[in-house]
Formats: sequence, C-alpha cells, structure tokens
Amino acid sequence: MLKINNLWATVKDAAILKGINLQINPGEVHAIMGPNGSGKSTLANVLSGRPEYIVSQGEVEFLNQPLLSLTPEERAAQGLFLAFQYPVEIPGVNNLYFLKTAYNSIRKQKGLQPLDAFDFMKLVKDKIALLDMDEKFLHRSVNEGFSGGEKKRNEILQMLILEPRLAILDETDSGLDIDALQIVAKGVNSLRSPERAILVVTHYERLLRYIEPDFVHVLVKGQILKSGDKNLALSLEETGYQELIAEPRAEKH
Amino acid sequence: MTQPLTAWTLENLQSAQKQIPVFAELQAWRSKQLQEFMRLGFPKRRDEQWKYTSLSCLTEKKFTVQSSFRKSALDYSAYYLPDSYRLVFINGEFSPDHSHWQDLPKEITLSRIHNLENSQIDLYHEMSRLPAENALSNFHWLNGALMGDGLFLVMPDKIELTKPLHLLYLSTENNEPLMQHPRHIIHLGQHSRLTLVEEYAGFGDQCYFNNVVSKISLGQGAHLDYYKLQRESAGGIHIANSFIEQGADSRLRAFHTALGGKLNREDFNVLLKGSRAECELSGFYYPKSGQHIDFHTRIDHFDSQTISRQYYKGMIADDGHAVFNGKIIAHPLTKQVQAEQKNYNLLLSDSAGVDTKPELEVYSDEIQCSHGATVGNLDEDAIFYMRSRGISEELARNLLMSGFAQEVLNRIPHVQIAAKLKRATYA
Repeated sequence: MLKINNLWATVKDAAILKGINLQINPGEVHAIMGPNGSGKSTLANVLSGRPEYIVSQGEVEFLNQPLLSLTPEERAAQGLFLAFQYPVEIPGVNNLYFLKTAYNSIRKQKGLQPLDAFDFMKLVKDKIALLDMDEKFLHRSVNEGFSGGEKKRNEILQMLILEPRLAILDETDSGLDIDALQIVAKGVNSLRSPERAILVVTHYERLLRYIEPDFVHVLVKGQILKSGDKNLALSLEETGYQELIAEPRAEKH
Repeated sequence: MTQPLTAWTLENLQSAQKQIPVFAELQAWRSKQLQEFMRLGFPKRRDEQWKYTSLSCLTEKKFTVQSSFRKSALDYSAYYLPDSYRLVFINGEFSPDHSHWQDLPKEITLSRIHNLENSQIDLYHEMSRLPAENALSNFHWLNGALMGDGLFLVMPDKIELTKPLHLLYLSTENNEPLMQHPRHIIHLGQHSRLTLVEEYAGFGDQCYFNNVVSKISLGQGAHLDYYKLQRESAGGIHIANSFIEQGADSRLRAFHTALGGKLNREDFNVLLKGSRAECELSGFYYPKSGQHIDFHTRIDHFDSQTISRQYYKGMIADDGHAVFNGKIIAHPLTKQVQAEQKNYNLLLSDSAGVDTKPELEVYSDEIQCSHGATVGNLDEDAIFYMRSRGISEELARNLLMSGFAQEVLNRIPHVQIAAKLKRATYA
C-alpha cells in the first residue's frame, strides 16, 4: 500500500529525514517510535504533503501510484489521512460544515455525487456516538476552544467519516488522559480492516497497548535504526532510546 | 504652480442650491452653511483626521444635483427586507410606489425633510440640532448647503415598532454624475424601540457622490438597533457623518457593513450623555480592487456608568485599503466608565493595506478600558489542515474568509437582516 524508498527531506534547509525505507501492506498496523527531534512528525507531514517540508531525494508510492507529486487534497482523495499532533483552530468555520465540505470534496474528486445534509448527519451521528462526543461540538467552530482531548477526538471523528485507506496518527496520544486514550483507540481500532493500514507515530509505548501494532520501527536522527514486532516497543519502554542511539549503525534494518 | 480647475466654486454651488426645493425658513440657514463650507473647503491630507484618505476623486470632478431619473416601473424587490416598513429614495427622490409605510402607528411622526408641514418646523429645528461638542466636518456644512431629501422620524414615548424600518437609498444611471446630500433626523422618545436599516446601493460602475448626515437621539431608556449597509456601485463615493445622542439607560446596537464604493468615509459619533447609556458598535468592511473604506468612530462618555463596546473587522483584498480610527473620550468627573474597542484586519493580498489606530482620551478617574488591533494574513496552517482533509486550496481560503466575516455577521440578532447582510457580503 505504501512504499517509501530512500526518502530524504528538509525543513527550513535543515535535513531531517536521511534515507527512510518502509513498506506498509494492507491490513497492517505500523508504529514509528523515536526520541524528540528524530523526524517522526516530519515523516508524517511529508507523507501528507505539508508545503514547508521539502523532499530532496527518494520516492514514495501509495496504492501503486507516485505520491509526492500530488497536492495534499489529492492525497486525501486517494485515501491518505493525517491526524494532526496539533489540530488547527479555525474560527468562524462550523465544525459540521467543515466535515461535510471535506467529505463531499473527496467525493467530488472521486467523481461521486455529494451527500445531502440529511444523510450526512446520519453518518456523523453514528460516529460521534462511537467516540462518546457531545453533539454540541459539531456546532462550534472547528477546534476553537476545544480542550486537548476534544481536539484529538475531533481528529478521530474526521478520520472515521473520511474512512481513509491509510491513517497516520501523529502523536495522537499526547495530552490525553487514560479515558480519552481508550476512546481514541476504540475509534482507531474500529477502522482496522484487511483493506486499510494504520501508521502510528508516537514517543511512548502507552498508545500501543490499545492500538496493537504488527510492526514497530525506531526512528533516530532521520533514519530507521531498528524494526521489530510489538515487543520492540515494550523493550524500548524499559531501556529508553539512549541505549539504541549508542548502538553502531550496523544495526540498521 | 497653477491651482487645478475645480467645479466646487461658490457660483456653481449657489446655482445648485437653486435647483433644490426647500421650505422658506431654511433659505437663510442654507446660505450660512454654504458660506462655512466655502471658508473651509474640502479636508486636506495634512488634516490629522484625513491623513490616510485622499479625496482627489471627489474634488477634481463635477457633479450635478439634477437627477435625470424618470419614474419607472423598475423592480427593486431584490433589495427589500421581508416584513418591514420601507422608504425608497431613487437618485435622491422619494419613490412612494416602491415604499410601504402607510400602516405605521399613528402616534409616530414620519415625514420627509422636503415635505415638512408648518406645524412640524419647530419640532424639526429641535430635533435636528447637532451636538455642540463635536467639531463639525467640512462635509456636514456641504450637506447643509445642498440639503437633499431625507427621513424625519419622531417616535413618542413608549412606542415599539415591531417591524424594522428600511430606508433604501438607490443610485441609478444619471446623465451627469449626480450628487446627493440627504439628511436624516430620527428621535426615539423615552423607552421607545426601533430597528432601523439604512441601505445605500448603486448600479453599474457609474460615478456619483452621496454625502449623508444623520442625527439620531435616544430618549431615556430607548433602544435602537441600527444597521447600515453601504453597497454603492464601484464608482460611487459615500461620505457619512452620523451623530447619535443617548439619554440615560438608553441602548444602541449599531452594525455597519461597508462593501461598495471607490471611496467610503464613515464618521460615526456616539454621545453617551445620560448615565448607564450603553452602545455596542460592530462592523465589517471589505474593500477590494480600487476601493478605499475609512471608518472613524468617536465615542464620548459624558456621564457615569456609561458603556461602549466596539468590534470592527475588516478584510482587504487586491489593492484595497481600509482605515479604522477609533476614538474614545472619557470626560472629567465621570465614574465607572467601561470602554472596549477591538479591531481585526485580514489582508488577502500583498498590495492590500490597512491603517488602524486607537485614540483614547481619558479624563475620568474610574475607567475600565481595553483596546486591541490586529493585522494578519490567512492562516497557512489552517489552509493546509483543510487541504489535508480533501478540501481544495481555493475553497479552503474561501472558508477561512467567510469564517472571519461570519464571526462578526453572527452577532446580528435579527434573522432576516442577518440573512440580507450575509447575502450582500458574499455576493
């Protein structure tokens, strides 16, 4: 589904990603872990097409098509979704209207008719119940004045509505208490299916207890130093990243 | 250096005066107004209050007061507000065919300035007196000299008009560039209530000049919701001087929407003269290519426990230019005065410009005062956020823009007026 081949990227002229290789197949859940500044969020943002992130080398294929030449909105229509680490507040734009505009924009790009307000509302109501969200959040401005946990739930709500093929969760666990974490994980897990894949970017192992990964990769200084199964996350939790960083580069996967 | 030729000579203005009918008592008064205007002339850029606004498009042009508009069966219903009283002026002339006021409550005096009865003249003089506290602008004198028709409305005590009163001032094609100097006099008696919508609209891109003076007074406990929609045509010039005097416990909610014209200057003066008088001014301005919109507000707190709140937002596109100058004066010996002023501006292009300036003069001992002004661009993070959800870049920008406007348009309490203003804004 996603093939990353020797990906290098810079932000404001600083090289952050230095040769990433990664393959994600349908149905898989991958986790990328790493210390602060290792390039985890950069990878997530490069994949979703944030303009400030410049790819200097390498290729990415998504669903057997080159990804990097697509605009962010085209990537979304192809089925790529990024749950933001810091969801943006959009004053004056109604959350429900935003959701519907996004949903119908993607339908339009796929050549489908837009869903009318009634059918869309039905769709939304099912999803907010799953996330234990109050309906009043639909009628407020997007993320404006939301608490950290509410913003993250709103990200997952968008994800459930847009039903992406590949969902990337960028530090979705940060700022969440244990209850909110469980709800968010429940939402993500409801999306798991043989046709979909999930990429979880996180600093801590905590989220992976609820969203169980098939593969764990450790990103340090812009490179994947180690890959393994979910036990790698557990061992990192015990030893921390320091030991790994000290290991020789020959360990690179 | 030779002086540029100007059409604004005493001779030209005197002959213009002769073309405007006015009741006898006002003849001498009008000559005095003209004298004063000739003495002052137009404001210059070196005047502090005009340093951001050039008047060359006005001073270098010749205007006539003679409307060539002939009564027509044109349909202006697209401009109408449902369920309202309506007074329509076309090129300065009252159009009874398009108006609807006959079922107004009998106690209300409603007339036109050019149509006053002898018995109303004294009342007119009383109500039209402008506050001595404000230095009157050059345009106010010009308005007096060439005073056109306008609304004369006096509401007695304890009357509530449940339907809005819509004053619709339309400018259509004219053989020569037309100028009109309407003056509106409105008084609300004690504990009376009114919703007033004052609208100026033009067609095509013709050049014309509207120079409006409004004097509004609110008796004790009176309540006025005042909406002004300015959507003159692309070549229109709109200058307005408004004075609102408020008695004790009165309340004003004013809402400006300025969208049209190549030059628009609003001088909005509120005089809080009775204790606990309260005013809330909001506004939205949106100059685009070739447009200049200048808001000067001035609020005088003359008494204790008076409250003023200002919330103005502007979006400036292309090479448009906006000015917001908000002056607050808290006079000596007043106590527990509250004044708040906020001005937010969004620049949509590199050549768009805005000048924003708060002016506070505080002589009061006890005042709670806050003000803030911002100038920014569309939030690129928000645009990326929306694009990552599949929304096109253009639509994302439009959503942000309408969101910015929405925050101020959503403050309008009257549903149908809100709908009308939103339609005008997004047209």
